[in-house]
Amino acid sequence: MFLHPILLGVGIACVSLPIAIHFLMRRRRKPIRWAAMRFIQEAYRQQRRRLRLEQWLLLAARCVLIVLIAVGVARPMFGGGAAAGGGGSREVYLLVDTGIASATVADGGGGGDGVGASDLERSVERALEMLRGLDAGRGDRAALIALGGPARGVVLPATADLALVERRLRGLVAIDSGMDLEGGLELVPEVDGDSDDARAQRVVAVFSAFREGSVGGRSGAGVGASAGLLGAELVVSPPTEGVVGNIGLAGFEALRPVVVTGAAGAGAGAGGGGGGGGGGGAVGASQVRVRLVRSGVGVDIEGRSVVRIMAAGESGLREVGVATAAWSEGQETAEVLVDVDLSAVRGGGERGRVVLRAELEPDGNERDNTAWAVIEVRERLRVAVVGTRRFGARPRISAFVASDWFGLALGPGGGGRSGQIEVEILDAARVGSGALAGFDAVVVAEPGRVRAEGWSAVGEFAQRGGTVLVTASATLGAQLWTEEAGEALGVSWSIGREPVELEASAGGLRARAAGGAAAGDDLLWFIRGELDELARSVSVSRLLEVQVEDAGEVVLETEAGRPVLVVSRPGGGDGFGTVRRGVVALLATAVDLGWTDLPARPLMVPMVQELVRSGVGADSSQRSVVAGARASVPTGAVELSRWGAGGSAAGVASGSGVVVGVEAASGRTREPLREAGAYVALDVEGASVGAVAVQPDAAAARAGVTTRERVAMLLVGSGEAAAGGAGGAGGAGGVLAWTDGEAVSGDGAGARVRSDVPGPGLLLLLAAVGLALVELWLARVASHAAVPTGGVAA
Amino acid sequence: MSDATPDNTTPDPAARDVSAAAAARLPEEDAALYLHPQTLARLKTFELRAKMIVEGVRSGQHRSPYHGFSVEFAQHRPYVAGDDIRHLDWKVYGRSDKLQLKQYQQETNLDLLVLVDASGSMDFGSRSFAEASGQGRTRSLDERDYWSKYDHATALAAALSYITLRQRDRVGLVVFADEVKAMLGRTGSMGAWRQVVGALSTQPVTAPTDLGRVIDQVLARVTNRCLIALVSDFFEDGNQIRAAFAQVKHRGHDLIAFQVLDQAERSFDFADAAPFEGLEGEGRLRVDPRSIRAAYCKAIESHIEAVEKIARGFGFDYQMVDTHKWLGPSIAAFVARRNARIKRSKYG
Repeated sequence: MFLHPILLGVGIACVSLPIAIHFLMRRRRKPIRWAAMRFIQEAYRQQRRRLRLEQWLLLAARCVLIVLIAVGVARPMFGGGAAAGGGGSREVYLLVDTGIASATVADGGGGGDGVGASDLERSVERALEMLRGLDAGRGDRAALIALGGPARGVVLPATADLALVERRLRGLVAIDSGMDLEGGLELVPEVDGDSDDARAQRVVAVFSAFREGSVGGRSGAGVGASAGLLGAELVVSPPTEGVVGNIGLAGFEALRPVVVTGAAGAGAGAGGGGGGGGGGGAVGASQVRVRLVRSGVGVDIEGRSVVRIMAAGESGLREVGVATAAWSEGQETAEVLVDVDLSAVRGGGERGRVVLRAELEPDGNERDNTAWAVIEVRERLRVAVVGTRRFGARPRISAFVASDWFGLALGPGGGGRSGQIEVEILDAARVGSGALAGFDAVVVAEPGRVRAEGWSAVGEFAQRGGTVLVTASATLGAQLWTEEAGEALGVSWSIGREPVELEASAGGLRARAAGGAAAGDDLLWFIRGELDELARSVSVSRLLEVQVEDAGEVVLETEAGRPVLVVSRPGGGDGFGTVRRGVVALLATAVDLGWTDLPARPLMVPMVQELVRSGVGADSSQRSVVAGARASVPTGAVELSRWGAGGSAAGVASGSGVVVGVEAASGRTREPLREAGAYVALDVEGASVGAVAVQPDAAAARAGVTTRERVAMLLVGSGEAAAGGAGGAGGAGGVLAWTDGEAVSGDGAGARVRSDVPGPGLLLLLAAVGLALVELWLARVASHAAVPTGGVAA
Repeated sequence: MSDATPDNTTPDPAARDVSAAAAARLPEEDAALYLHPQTLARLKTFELRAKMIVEGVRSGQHRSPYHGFSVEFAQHRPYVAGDDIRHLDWKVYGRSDKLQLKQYQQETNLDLLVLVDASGSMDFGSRSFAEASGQGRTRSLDERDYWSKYDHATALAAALSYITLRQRDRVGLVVFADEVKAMLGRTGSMGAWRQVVGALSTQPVTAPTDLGRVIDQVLARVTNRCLIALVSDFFEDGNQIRAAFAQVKHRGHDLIAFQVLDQAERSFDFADAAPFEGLEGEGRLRVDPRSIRAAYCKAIESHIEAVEKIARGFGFDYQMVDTHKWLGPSIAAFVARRNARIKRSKYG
């Protein structure tokens, strides 16, 4: 086996050169007429045997020399990595940090590193240096693992094609997710004791600047205790000393992910950059929330950061808002609300979208200076109220049933098709499969009348991302629907069948503090400030007992702590922002004056409106994910296509660039999204069905420097022995050595690697050099150059 | 040229008598190519003497075996150191108190027979013709640009002939290779050296030397004792040379072996591998000269030494002649040494 068999063939063919030269030289000579021929013959007879021996030896030396060079250059590979020349083969796993922190560019310092080079470039250079020390000819192999989260094998398993590894190494780029060191180490395969790999000396080399963002808050458990590290030497690049300041966008979201523009004609045709045309009401003003995090140099001083919000329109990106975040001394995080004016952004439509991009001024790391958000633009929301369909004029308030109250709350201005929310009353008994198609939210006002297939339809509706609000039935004593509904909706609540009578002195309601700070996690975030006051005036006399597993799901409760309004995700488990399911809310009381005075209280309208509006916007498919995660996609999407970096509106509509497949079973992308940006979700026909914003992992981009002790603690669970340039640290997985160290002391668990052991190719070339010297000597002897010469004319 | 006809030799019918024709076609200047005026001047005072008693038909300076015949007093001459005191005329000494030697008319003439090797090996030379000829000529009569051993042998034969003729002795020539190729009958004419050169103005043949056969043929034609000057490179087996010399000795002739060699043949000073092609049909052999130089030089020097040893073993004189050196000084030195030895010997 040879690395370059063609070179071998050419080299072997060159063996004919000395023979050809010999014959060419023979033919060229003109005979010399000689009188004393008998003495030449006599001398030749005496010397013939020696001369022939000399000539044959010389020819053989020259041929063997060429063969040696050819074989040496062709880089022979001996099976199983068995090396010639006494040195064992090596199997080196190069783990290079391509996380977002590796894009940090230090202004200087860095222990002599070049100015202007990113951490990744330095890591690649170090890795290349190690790679150059390998020799495929002696059986050395290398693998390349990119540690940008989640880690992936770029060249895996290890290969003898070191040129390929070098090419891939040079082609590494930093991505927007954090470093996944654990995942990278887990990719290093375990050693099979009987395989050839077991005989190879294994080296796991980690190249990273080990900034705060990369090391993160990991404990010192020693991630190097991976199975793949058993018996291997762990070589680690020392943490960088290049200090730099960095401010990143840790969060960017629209407070109202879904903007309802109202009836057509109410404004100029405005809307999202990716909607795909169509007229609608003006988007108008909106608000976005930007969270910033700063790290590294400059944290201890006051400062300001300017945030610009750009929106994608038909004419490209245009600035729609700007805000300045003020930093006080020692402040590491900041949050600003930015008013954005989307009225000038053309496009949009009934289901259009506006792609927003937040930008920070350049600093030590450019990758976390940009974040993305998508605002869905709707002309109106369609809400189905499952209750009693009424024909004719609306009755007096005293005769209102639940569906009447909800219709009134959702359409205080009259509702219908002219408002922002279009309400349609569905007869509860007739709700079935397909009846809820086209609605954004469903309010089950009379659950007692909903049949089994009705609950299935509602459950499916929620599974597809819809918002469902269920209330107790005012007309029933025993609420027999609760189990069926709970099962269909996939919630974990336990709902009592019998309503509980509350004493009049029990007082009003109170709002429970929201579990999450994000607007998407708190459906009533917009009215949170007034929620307590609004709730206090509401009295509840009867309600269903609800037991929740997660107290965070309770939004409103009685003074006695009985849950009144709970919100959850059907199927539960994954939380907001990471799954694509809709929102299920349960109002434990019936919207009936006999149960509660809520319908007549000011809380009713904003609560119902916000539940619907925020519930629709809380659909996870509209939300953003942090780079490195598999994003959930809207229902019906089969692939995600990255929105063009040029910022064209058409790009949002059709998608461009990177295409990521969707796993139908889980509703997530097949692969993690490593690149930040806006992604358009496309259905089988290529039509846009939603968008996903992928944000850079700003937390992983923190630029502060760490210490060797901390890195050693991270890798081998012990920081003390790792101090010093050439120090070794015994770890569960083997030995840690810094790449700037000269030698490695070990605990015997791992084989030592000596890079100065030449491979067979090099040995052959050295042998060729030796043989060349012998050939020179032999040629001199054979040519009898020591004999004095002088021209004689014959 | 009246005595150009061989009077006591029996030429082989096969051997061509080239004297008249050769002399006729050789211009004066061409003959001078081989016997330079400098050489002539150098050899003018030298005499080639016979080491043994020769059987000349005329009286001369060489001892004759025929006592009583033409043995009469000729003149006195002053004694010089080294002269045999037996020839002192004591009577004169008694009268005049001067040492005078008696000189008798008892010597006869010397026949010099020059045998020149014209085998293929003699057609080799590494010296340029222009340098060797010294006459401004760059090419030989047959358009060669090199001075061959045969050219040198020709010059040597001319010089020897000149010396001999000048001392009123006779000169004959035999050109041979594997057999006698041409002969020039003995003659005492002073201009006969040009005939010698003319007879030698031919190309060596490709055939190898067969000295035994040639000596047989020559001795068969020579009836009186004479001095044989054998000019050859002696590239022949030592035993054959010995056998040939033995015949000459047996027949009572004196012999001087002139071994003509080119400097390149002795130095074998080549740098690059090349095919060597024999001049006597030995074929071609590709060798690296430097690789066999030591063995070659050893072989040729051993052969030279052997030839000299054989010659001296029979009491003959031996002289190495280098084609790269002028003939005059070397022949003069040789003749002087020879004469001195003869003087010291019983024949002096």
